[in-house]
Amino acid sequence: MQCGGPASLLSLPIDATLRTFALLDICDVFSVISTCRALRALGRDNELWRQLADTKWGSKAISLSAESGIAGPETWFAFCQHRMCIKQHRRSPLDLIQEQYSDPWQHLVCCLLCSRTTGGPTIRNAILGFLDAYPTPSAVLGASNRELEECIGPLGLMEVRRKALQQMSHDFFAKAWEDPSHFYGCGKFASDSWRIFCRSQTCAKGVEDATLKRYLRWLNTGKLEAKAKAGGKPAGRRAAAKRKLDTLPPARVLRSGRKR
Amino acid sequence: MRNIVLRANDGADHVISVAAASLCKTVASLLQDLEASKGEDTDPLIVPLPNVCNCTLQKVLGFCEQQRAFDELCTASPAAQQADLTRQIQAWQMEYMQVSTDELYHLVMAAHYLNVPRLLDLCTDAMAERIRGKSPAQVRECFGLKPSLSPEEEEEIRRSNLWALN
Repeated sequence: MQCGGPASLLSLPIDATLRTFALLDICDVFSVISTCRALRALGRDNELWRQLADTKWGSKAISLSAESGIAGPETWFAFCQHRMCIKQHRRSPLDLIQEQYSDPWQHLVCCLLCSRTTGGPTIRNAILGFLDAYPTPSAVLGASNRELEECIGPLGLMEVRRKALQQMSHDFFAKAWEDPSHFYGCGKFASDSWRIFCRSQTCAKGVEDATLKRYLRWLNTGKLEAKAKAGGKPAGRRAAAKRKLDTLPPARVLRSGRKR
Repeated sequence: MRNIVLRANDGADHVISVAAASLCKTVASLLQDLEASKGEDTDPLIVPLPNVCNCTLQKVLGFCEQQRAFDELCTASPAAQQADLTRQIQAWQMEYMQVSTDELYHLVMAAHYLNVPRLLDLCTDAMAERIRGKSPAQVRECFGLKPSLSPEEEEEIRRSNLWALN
């Protein structure tokens, strides 16, 4: 084609541009709106954020937010800002399951599914399988109780987990919340985990979960283990390692622990 | 059957089938209005398109005719062949979208003006694909955008976007 005259990204119809940007990941959206003034202005358009939310979470979840008044024509940006938050946390040699999910909704799903499990390969696969079958909150909200429980099966506590997943997926969009501990079924563990991996807050104060504490120790000191007590015998350390084996199953943790 | 003629901005005429024209919602609604007001009539419907150049129009019409053909194939084929057909369609669309950025702009504008939802979807997908994984400087280069932000403004964007970046 030779004819047609001059054209540019900026001369396209606005709804076509919005639709294009709504297909992008957040990082790419930020690349685009950092290019020039006109596109920066578009980055503040609440309609763009409504469409991004729709692409990401599906229309069922989004209409919950619109109907409950949590998000509206003037507030989609703030709505997404609170619920998308994909700061990159550092991956540790501990290779915790939660490290794999930095998207807040997915992260909470992961927490609800891995709590009170060994965290071993079967559990990891089951969580992966669940998010594969139900990649969005809209998919979770659209599924029947039986379908969800079947998918949760390998993790145990099917009914409890199913209820928590449904309630969290609903309230995540239909309520104004500050912290995931507001959600049914999400306790201190989920809340701390969300703070660390979705918000990149690294303060260890008040964190109770042993694996989260180890992650933060690694992050803040570069070491996996706490300093061995002075005069501690090798046999004592072996016993300590064995105790960890009972509570911390991920194979890689143990391997890297042994090397040290 | 009424003939439909789409006239490009340089006066070139393109005759298209009613079936293919039905993919262009703008043309389809013109046709409907015309039939409602005049009843059965065999005069050709001439649609002047002052915003669309000849080569872009040709490209759009190529899409409409081909999609129609695929649609007919899909309804005629047994379920077992659907997956194969889907692959064929995707391969054709991929080939179809091998256009320069400039051509892509014109295609988006024409698809928008003529209201061809499926072509518009294909175009926005292609544009998004050209943006993915690029830095702001690379996006500027790809789309020929002039940097118009001062270093202070860039810094401000970087700071306000911290919630989503490293």
